[in-house]
Amino acid sequence: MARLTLENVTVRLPVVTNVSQRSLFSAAARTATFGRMGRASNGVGFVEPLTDISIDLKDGDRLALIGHNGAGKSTLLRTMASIVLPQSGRAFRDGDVSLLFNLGTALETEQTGRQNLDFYARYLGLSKSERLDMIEDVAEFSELGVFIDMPVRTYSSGMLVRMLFGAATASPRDILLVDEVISAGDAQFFQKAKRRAWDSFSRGRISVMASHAPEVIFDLCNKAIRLERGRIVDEGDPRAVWDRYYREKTVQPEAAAPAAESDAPASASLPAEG
Amino acid sequence: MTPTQIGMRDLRDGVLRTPLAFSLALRELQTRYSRTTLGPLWITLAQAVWIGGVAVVFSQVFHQEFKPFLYFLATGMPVWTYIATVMTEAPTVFVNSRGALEQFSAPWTVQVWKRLMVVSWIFAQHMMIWVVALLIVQPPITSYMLYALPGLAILFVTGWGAMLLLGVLGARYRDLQPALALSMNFMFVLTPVFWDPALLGEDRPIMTHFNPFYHFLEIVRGPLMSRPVAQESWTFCIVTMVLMVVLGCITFARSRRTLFNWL
Repeated sequence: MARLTLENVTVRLPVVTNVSQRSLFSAAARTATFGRMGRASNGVGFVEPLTDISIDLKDGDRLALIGHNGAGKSTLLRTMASIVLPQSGRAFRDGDVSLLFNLGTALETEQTGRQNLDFYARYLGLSKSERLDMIEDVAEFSELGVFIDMPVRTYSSGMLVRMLFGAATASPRDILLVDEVISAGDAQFFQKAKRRAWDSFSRGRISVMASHAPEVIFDLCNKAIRLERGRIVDEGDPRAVWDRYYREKTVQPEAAAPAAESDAPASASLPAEG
Repeated sequence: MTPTQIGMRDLRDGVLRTPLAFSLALRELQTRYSRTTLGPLWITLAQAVWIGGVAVVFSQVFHQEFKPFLYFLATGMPVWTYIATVMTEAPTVFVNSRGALEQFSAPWTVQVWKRLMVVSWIFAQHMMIWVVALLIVQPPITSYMLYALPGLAILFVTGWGAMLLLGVLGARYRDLQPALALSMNFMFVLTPVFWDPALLGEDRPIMTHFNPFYHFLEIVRGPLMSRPVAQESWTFCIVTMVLMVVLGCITFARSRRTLFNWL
């Protein structure tokens, strides 16, 4: 049985606001002078993208994350995937995860689609025959045709999205974490992707997805939470949570607009003394 | 699980996933030389041309016999290149693999194994020149040469630890990489790679005692040249190896929580 539990999780990350903070020499100088040198250039601040988050997910839970840009959705997904670890609180996970974040950052553009997919499958730890099956499956889904044997650098962005989306949904693990990818691509692909995601979500035992597209959320999720400045401000049925979120957004457009546009951290603080 | 435990588990799982690291290393080597005719042969060729050129010029400048000097160079140069590459590439191990760390839930230390395998493969290709030099020069083959094997083992294990340690530090402190690249250029001249300390007789210069790279060079080159290696060198290298591995593991495990944010 898959399970994903966060107990009072707070994530706090150091942020470099000053170049010299990344410098070994200024760190050495600070140490050597007992902090006198470089006090003025102390540029490590902290952001707290998640504050006191508690979530408990079991088999069959398909959770939607709703919220403005910068509300903490991506950080929450990364925390669930153990890419980012909490400062305090407990994150507990039982089951393998597959991730759909930032599609394409790990591509080798000089190699063919087939070779890249093979590596994708190797990362997942699939056996040789499973890898071949997966490549066939993705090739069929993404309609790449002869391009599957061409270097990835020759692909259009639409082809890339189709291939990577196909790859990420081909072999679902126990827990599937998705960040804003389904809305990419044209309308026809969108329908196809939604069907495939449905299929994949129902095989994956727990899924969590961040999305700004209400139709995706309503179709694919059975629970929702809304994040605001790194805190859970609302939870429940996806449609209800979305409606309340949407109403607030339209009632107070001037209040919501700046938050939606900036990627400002949920809450930030500079340390008083290093 | 605490962040440190996750880091420790990553170290363990990294060992279990070495087949993945191997295929990643292979892919990097393939793409590096795709669209070239000679392909990976360029690695060997570039080193061979360098060694050949230096052997011709320096044997005349230093008035040395060509053949022994060629063998000395062909034995030491691949080892030095390995050491220098580990030192200069280590700080970017994690920085350059941000995409993979974010997209796949594979252990992060797989990236360290991958880098070590790429560097080791290049080392193996460079050692082809040593084989050729062995055939040309035909030095006496002794059983003492086998001591190069433990020497190599120490070299590789230390490389793994150093990459882990410097990989984390290099992500946090971005000027570590250029600083190390600069130092390694300097150390290349200071370390007896293309000049033989044996020529200096009893007055061994200070850089053959207090130069860590000299000892690592010596534990592989010494045996291959059937020259006894000082006890001092073995002791130093083994202590450094243990230190690097322990420090690397501790630093990685302790920094695992914030590491992604530094990338």
